[in-house]
Amino acid sequence: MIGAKRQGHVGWLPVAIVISAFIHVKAFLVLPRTLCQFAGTAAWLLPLIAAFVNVLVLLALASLLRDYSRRSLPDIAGSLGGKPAQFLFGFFYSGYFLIFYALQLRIFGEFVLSTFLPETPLGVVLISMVLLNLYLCYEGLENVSRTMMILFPFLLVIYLFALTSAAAIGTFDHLSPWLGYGLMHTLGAGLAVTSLYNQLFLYGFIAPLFRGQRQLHRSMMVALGFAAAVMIFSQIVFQMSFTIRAAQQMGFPLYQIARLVQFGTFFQRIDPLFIFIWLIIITIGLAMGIYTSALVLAQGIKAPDFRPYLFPLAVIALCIAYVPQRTVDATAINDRLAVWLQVPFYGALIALFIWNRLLHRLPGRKKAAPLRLSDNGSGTAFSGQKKIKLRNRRSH
Amino acid sequence: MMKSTGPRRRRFFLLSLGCLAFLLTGCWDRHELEQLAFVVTMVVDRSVGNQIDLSMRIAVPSGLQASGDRGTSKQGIAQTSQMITVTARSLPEAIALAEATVERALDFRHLRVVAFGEPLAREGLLPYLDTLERYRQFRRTIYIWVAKEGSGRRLFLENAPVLEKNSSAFIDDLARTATRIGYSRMPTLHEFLNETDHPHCDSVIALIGIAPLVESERKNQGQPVPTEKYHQQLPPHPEPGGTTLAPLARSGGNPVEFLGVGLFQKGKMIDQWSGQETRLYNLLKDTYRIGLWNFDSPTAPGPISLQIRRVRPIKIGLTGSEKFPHMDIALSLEGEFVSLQSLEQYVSTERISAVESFVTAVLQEELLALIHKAQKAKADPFDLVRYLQRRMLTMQEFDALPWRERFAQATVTVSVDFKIRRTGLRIQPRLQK
Repeated sequence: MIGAKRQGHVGWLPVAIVISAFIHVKAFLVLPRTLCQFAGTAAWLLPLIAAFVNVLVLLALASLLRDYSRRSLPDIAGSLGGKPAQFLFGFFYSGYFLIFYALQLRIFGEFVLSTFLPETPLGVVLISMVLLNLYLCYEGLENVSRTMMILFPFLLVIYLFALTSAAAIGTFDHLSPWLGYGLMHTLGAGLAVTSLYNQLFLYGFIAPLFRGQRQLHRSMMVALGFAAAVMIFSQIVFQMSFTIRAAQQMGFPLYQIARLVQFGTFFQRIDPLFIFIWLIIITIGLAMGIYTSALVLAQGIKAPDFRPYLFPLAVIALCIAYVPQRTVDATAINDRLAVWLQVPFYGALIALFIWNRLLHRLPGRKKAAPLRLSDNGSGTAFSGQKKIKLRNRRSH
Repeated sequence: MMKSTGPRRRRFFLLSLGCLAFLLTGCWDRHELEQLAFVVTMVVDRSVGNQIDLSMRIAVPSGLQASGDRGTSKQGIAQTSQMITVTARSLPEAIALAEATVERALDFRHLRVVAFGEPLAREGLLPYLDTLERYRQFRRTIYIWVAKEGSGRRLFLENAPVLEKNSSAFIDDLARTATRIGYSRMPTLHEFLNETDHPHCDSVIALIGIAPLVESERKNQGQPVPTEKYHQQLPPHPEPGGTTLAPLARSGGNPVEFLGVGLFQKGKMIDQWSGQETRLYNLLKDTYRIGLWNFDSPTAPGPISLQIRRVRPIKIGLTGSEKFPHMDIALSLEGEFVSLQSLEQYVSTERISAVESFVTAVLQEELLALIHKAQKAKADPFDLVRYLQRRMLTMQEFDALPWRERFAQATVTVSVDFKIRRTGLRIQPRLQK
């Protein structure tokens, strides 16, 4: 399988950071505006509410992965429901990540054309980005995460500097009235945008690359906490900078924030600097999108390697990216799918979790245990197996 | 560890690199500095036949280098920038038409200010601001000005900075000075749009006027008129400078002056406030920081001058019924004697409090007068509603609030906590013999 032998083991922190970047791609595009349209002045609460819901989801995911010694989700689906379940599981999640990769690619392309490269053909921007994404993710997650770790300190400092500078010209008054369209509406909107952190599902597919369950669990929680903190901070700064009416109509919100910062004659503007940060995070985040899609597909069809699927999937993604005729169409499709597809997206995991807990409790675990050692080839699988046996004994 | 893929990996790497090199996007959007014409200032005026006049000053960098220290600043401005005016139906059309007459591509990324003529400001600016907000080349950090009367183009033609020869530097200097002295407020496009988008808040824009005497001097080779002639041209009993919308009594310098603000509601100018009113506005809006103030001496003829600094943010308490609210506005200021022209012996622990009380009373009275003026116009440019906004929970409740009507009916008390902390570099003035 596509385990540590092919891609190498990964550290919990680099993966947490790279997945945070994966999550943050949408915040760099149109998400802050969408959140404002959903919840008005309480938009900054939505990433917080969604983060709480995702803690539960991650706990369920971690529990499921622990029970199966960190095998990938399609593998677990396969051992519970057979090959068709594994194929369907892999196909659905691969398609999900591919569609969002394609839509975000298109929105990114439109952004580039709307802001700094108006004369460049859209295809050139999209193909350049796709090739860069393929190059980045071809060697697997370990490579991407190490690249990210080198760039991370610079990215974080400049990003926080840009946002803090913008916050200085904003006002907290723009965050009030505090509950937006109302408490229930805000809570409902928070639940509706649970998929804000859906990229955390990647842990379900890369679990075999971790050396131990503790590292996986820690990485998940750090990724969620860090992504939520940055997203909430970005959203607060965005809302502080614009009145809610303006924020709800703002094209490319974080870019607009960076353009507001002006330091006078010595160090005039920071948006040229911000553009680089922005591009790096988007490139790495999008690379993770196509990587996830290929990896999950390979896991779904029990292929030994994800790499052969990268290029074909990239071609399909490019075709999907051209489906929306306009920027507004791409954004609308992205927003609608993000809300509606989260039902099957989270539903599949919950179904797997319940199936494992209720219906497959004893025989399933006994059957699944021998497969674990052969899966990721790391010594840590044994300890997981031992733990499960002990737990089973206790349950007797 | 990673499985080595050797030559295959190298081939893939080289291929990707080759593809990326071919696809580098700079080829389509390559812009050399020598191919661009940077517009630094822009004026939009109402023209004939429901069209608009778009006047632009295009920077001439070689002129900036050549002018050096020679010549007057007016010549400098003319040397460092060229003004062109195009009449069209919309801003984008005017820009496109202007590009047909300029040999380089117009670039607005270094635009510092957009000024509007007074008739257009009274009609409404929102249709034109949409272009400035939407088109990528305009930044929300550009300043907006409005002509006190007539067209803005005339003001830009007459503009002759005292020192600066570079339009951008001139505007940056002005914005800094406006904040420092408070006789004007120069909001950026971003600030103005934020205030305009607010459901209950109104906005202001810096007024630019012209001093007729200085304008006539400029036409006369820029020579200041003799003193006798200068005095003849002044009104017999002029109001103190900046307290009305009338031009300042002055000779020499830049014919263009920056005092006062235009009051805007839903993008339309509905009133104009003088320089002194603008200072009071800045106090209420909490954008005031420091400035020189002049007051009549409470007990003797001759003014006293103070430098007044804001100490703490303004506090506003809202009480009373929902329909007839009452506002308690509290300001905290401190001052320093700059001049005691009356030569009264105020600088003692006993008498200094008398000056403080006097200044407090004058400020309270003037602030109340300005608030009443705004109430009459049913306009809240001070953003006083923010104190109510902070207490509200839902946007529906806030949007449904008839704030302008409530503000117009509200009773207001203003209390100023003012202390003269410092006396300057001298204690008591000299005794008059």
